[in-house]
Amino acid sequence: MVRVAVPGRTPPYGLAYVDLDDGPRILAHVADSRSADDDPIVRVAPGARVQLAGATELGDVLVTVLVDATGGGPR
Amino acid sequence: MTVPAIKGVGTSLFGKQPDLHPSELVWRAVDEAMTRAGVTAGELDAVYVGTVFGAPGVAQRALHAMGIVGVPVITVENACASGTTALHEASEAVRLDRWACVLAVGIEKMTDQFAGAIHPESTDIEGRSGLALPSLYAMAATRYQHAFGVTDAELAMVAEKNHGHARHNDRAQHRTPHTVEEILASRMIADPLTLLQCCPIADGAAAAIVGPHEPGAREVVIRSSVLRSGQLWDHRSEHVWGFELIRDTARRAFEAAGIGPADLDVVECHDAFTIGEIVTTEALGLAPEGEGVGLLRDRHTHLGGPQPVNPSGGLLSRGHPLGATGLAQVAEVVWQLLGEAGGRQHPGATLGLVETMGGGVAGVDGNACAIAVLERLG
Repeated sequence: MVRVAVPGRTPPYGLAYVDLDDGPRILAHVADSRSADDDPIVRVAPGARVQLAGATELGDVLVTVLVDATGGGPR
Repeated sequence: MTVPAIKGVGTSLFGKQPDLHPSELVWRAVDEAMTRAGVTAGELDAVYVGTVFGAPGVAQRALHAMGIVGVPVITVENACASGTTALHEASEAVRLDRWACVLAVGIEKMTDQFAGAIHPESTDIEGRSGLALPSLYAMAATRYQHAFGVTDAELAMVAEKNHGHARHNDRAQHRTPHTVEEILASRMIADPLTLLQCCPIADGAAAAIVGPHEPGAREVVIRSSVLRSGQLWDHRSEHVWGFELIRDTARRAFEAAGIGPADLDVVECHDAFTIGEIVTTEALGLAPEGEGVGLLRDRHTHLGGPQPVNPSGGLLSRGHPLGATGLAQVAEVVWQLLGEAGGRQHPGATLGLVETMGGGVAGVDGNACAIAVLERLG
């Protein structure tokens, strides 16, 4: 979760490296990585499976978490 | 071929120095290095300059006022490893008998350009997607914690150690010790890395004079110097970002020096973020993979331990003026090996290592890594 000011972006926003099933590794923005009360404490567990959800307003790859390594969703 | 040696080092103060011109920082560092080496401007054959955000001519603008003119001035950029790259090139120039008296200098004036984290590089596909460097290391930390069961408090132990070391470094930007609790309670930058686990931007310069080894001289020999760029980042790798580049560079540096990690007395490594030091100590072979935290828990890498890491306070405390950092690390190890490190001296140090990791580029596991093995003979 990036919480520092980055030109052109509004923190916080979630980033993750995603290994596609057949490679390669890509950087993606994680959708819904803020909790309901807007307190961005969510960390996506390494090993979680994600699904392409399209693109952000700025054209970044956007994914949603399907299930994490422990069998749950985003936590 | 010639054995290269460092004849003298110097640095400016480090920190936010908005009232100083970049030339003033260079003058302080170069003057100290030349005085220590007993070298005059007319004796220099060439200059290598490390800088990342320096203005065109940043070095010549400073050096002509010192009488350093009429020689090749070569500016190199390798992100955070720019200063160490300058040393590497100076060392190679002497080793290969191209030149006999070379100045390596690093300079960065960051407070003119940034108020906080360095802006992601917009021409990089990941930078364009908002990948600030703290988040690159934060993802490495998250993956490392998941793989090896390391807690946030254990990550913070790096900052506790290095901030503690900096108490004895009057050139460092931050010289206040902090507890693990204070470090964890500081503002979150990129989960799990809090403010006190991230190096501050800084203004500073550092310099070294390199020439042929002279037996009996008060100098530090460069036993090896290796510079590499990263490989394509293999998605099948289980290692965190940067590990393989540092490991591979270290292997070559140790092989060329004819030593192993256990032989080292002191290390300055790239702790831009706390996770960086843990991963680097493992990649250097000071600890098995996944056991870097044990070095902190056992105080192995604290001052007073057998192999102090970042006795200067590291980037976390000294500050991180990118182009100057590598040569500031070199200066610290030279002072340690010559017994001139004052209150942070590791007694009897004769063999040291400098490692600098040079930033990120999408698609490779690191932009650059520079490692030098230094030794005081006799």
